[in-house]
Amino acid sequence: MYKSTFMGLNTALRGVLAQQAALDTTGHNISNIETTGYTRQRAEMRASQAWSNPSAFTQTSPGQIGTGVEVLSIERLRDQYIDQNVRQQLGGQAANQTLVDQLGQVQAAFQEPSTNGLSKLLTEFFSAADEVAKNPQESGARQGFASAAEALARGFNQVSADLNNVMLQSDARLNDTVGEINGITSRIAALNTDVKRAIEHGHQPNDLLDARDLLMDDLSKITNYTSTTAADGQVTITFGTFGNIVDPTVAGGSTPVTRADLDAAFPADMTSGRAFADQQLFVNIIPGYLAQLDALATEIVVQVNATNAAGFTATGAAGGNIFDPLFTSAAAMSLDGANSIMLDPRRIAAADSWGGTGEPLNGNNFINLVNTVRGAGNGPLGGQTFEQYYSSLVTALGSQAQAAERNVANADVLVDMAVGRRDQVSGVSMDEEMSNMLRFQHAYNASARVMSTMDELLDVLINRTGRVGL
Amino acid sequence: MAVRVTQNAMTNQFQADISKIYAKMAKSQQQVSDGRAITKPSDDPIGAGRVMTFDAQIQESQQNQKSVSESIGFMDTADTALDTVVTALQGIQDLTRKAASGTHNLADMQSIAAEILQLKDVVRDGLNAQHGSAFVFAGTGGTQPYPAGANAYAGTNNPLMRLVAPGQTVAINVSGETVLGVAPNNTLDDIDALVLDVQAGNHQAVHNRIAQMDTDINRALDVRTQMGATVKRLESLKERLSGVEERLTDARSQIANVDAAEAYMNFTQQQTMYQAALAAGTRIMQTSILDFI
Repeated sequence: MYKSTFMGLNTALRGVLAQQAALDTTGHNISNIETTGYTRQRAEMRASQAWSNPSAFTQTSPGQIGTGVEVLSIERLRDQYIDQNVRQQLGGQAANQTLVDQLGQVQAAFQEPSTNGLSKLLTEFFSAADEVAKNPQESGARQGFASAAEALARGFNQVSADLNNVMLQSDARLNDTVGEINGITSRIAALNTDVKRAIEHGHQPNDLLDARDLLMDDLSKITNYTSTTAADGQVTITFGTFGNIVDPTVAGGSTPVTRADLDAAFPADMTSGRAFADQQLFVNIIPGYLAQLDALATEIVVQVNATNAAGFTATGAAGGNIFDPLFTSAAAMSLDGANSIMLDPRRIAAADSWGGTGEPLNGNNFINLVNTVRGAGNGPLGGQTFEQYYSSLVTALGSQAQAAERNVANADVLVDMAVGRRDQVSGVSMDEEMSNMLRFQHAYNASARVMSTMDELLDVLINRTGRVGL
Repeated sequence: MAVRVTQNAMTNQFQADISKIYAKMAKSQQQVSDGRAITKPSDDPIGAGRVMTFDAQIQESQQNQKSVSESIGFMDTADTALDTVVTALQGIQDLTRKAASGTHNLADMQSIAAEILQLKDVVRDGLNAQHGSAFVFAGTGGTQPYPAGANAYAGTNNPLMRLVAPGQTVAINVSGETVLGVAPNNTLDDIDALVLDVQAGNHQAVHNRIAQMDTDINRALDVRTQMGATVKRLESLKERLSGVEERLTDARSQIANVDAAEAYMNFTQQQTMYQAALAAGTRIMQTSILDFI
């Protein structure tokens, strides 16, 4: 059996087609050079089946003759282990970035160190008390102390309200997160179906896989999860003990989560991502600072009231409350309404005794307030004075924020490295694509030249031979 | 396998580097322009805590210095008043010696008695001295310690305490009773008894009163000496406090303020880095194989 006269034409045609496919792929890569999550593709070629196969009926000939080239597949150059690493780092980065942002707001609420913070108000409170102690007969000094006490209470209210706001932001964001997670998982579920269908039909759905990987990157910025890919190309995503949030075996392909599920997952299953940071802020960090602030406010209310109650007012009566003893939280700290020293500063009990015709110059009870009460450690505050306790609170906050800032800087480096490694494998390089383009272009041209050479041969064969006698 | 670097990787890296340098420059710029090293606790948590403590201590120290100055003013008033009281008592003593000499007739004795009574009013006025609205010898009481017409002390024996340094209180007053003794045997009573003897022309009885007047004068002088000692102590404390404040302010500024020269140098260095990165980045990223095809 002889090979077909026209076989060379077919071989050249295959070459032209294959190089065209490679050129198309190059064009696709170049077009998507700026597309987020795009993975570069490559046309994998191989030699098509040679002519002819040896068999009992085949004439022996000197070796097989190649039949040209075919495109085996369009490969997607991606490393799923790098993806896992990228997602892990993205989660850490998002968590720390959220912590830094929110702790920044917490720090802004405290306004330290500055001349507007609680520490300044506290110092001014005691200075005003000292002025009363020195000049108890002067209504101006008493009024000054009443204002300072009011300002201190307002200061506590303000910081507490600001902290509460930051906490509620985290709460609101967690609620939004639920929608985000469910949106992402339902889109992944839809892509799962498309991917499966494509693979069943023998296609390689590169761009669908890119879209799905991008969604999984986004999900990792919200929370950590585990994922497995089945042979049919579908992914299953598992969210801790909650179970699968993306599961091709259930109807719809995904299971929505609720806010309660997010709360239940913290802290055992949730260890990274924005949602993790918000949970930390909402459940632990900000309530912790609020509790410390409350403890401080309570202790100030208790001690100042007790001191005032031990003294005598400017009218010789026993002292009452300065601050309302019922409202000991920082949020509600206020001057006592029934015994308002704002309305009647004479109610300030600066005197430690009231003998004979009265002791309007006696400020010794307030000397006690400024000297002993201010300088004494308080049991509920861990044996610290008011000012020490507050200053260690701010120092602790600063350390926490500083640690978060450092972690973000580290996480940025890690994410850069991981994404860089991914780019190394999957990123499109313009220079590379252009040089490939030149290669494919030349290969195409050469195949075309082979074809026209074949054409000339056949022209000679058909038009110039067998013309004897014509 | 050689490292495969793509345009996008380079651009990303370039942008990340630029933004890092930019963040550093922003920080330096803020430090250069407002001079504060710590604008939020996380800049330097320990430092922030110490700055807050220093701020409180500085203000406390200022408050103490104010109290010390005011206390010294109060005690100066008391000292001036005591000076007139002692002078008046010494005047009375001179008159007493004159009356005891026995060379004066009854009419002279009457005029001496009148003079003594006038000096008694000087003593009384001295003890009713005021510093602002406060009666300096009335203790914590709010009225004249020796109102006209009575010799008994109307003030209190409670001290006027002042916080002059952290944990350190000082009584800045003396009560009228410390100066004059306790009624019905205080200096004013003694003067009244003396006046009666002078009016009666009883030279011997007047003579016997000289010793008592000495005791009264010495009591007042002792008080003055004691107060002088307290004032001295307050004055040295005042100097110490202002020294302390200076040191606290110094220590605070070491933590809270930036070294201007260093901050500016950092800033300049970062600026150079920024420009170098920009120059290199833009030059490398401009070229590609396209320029040569």
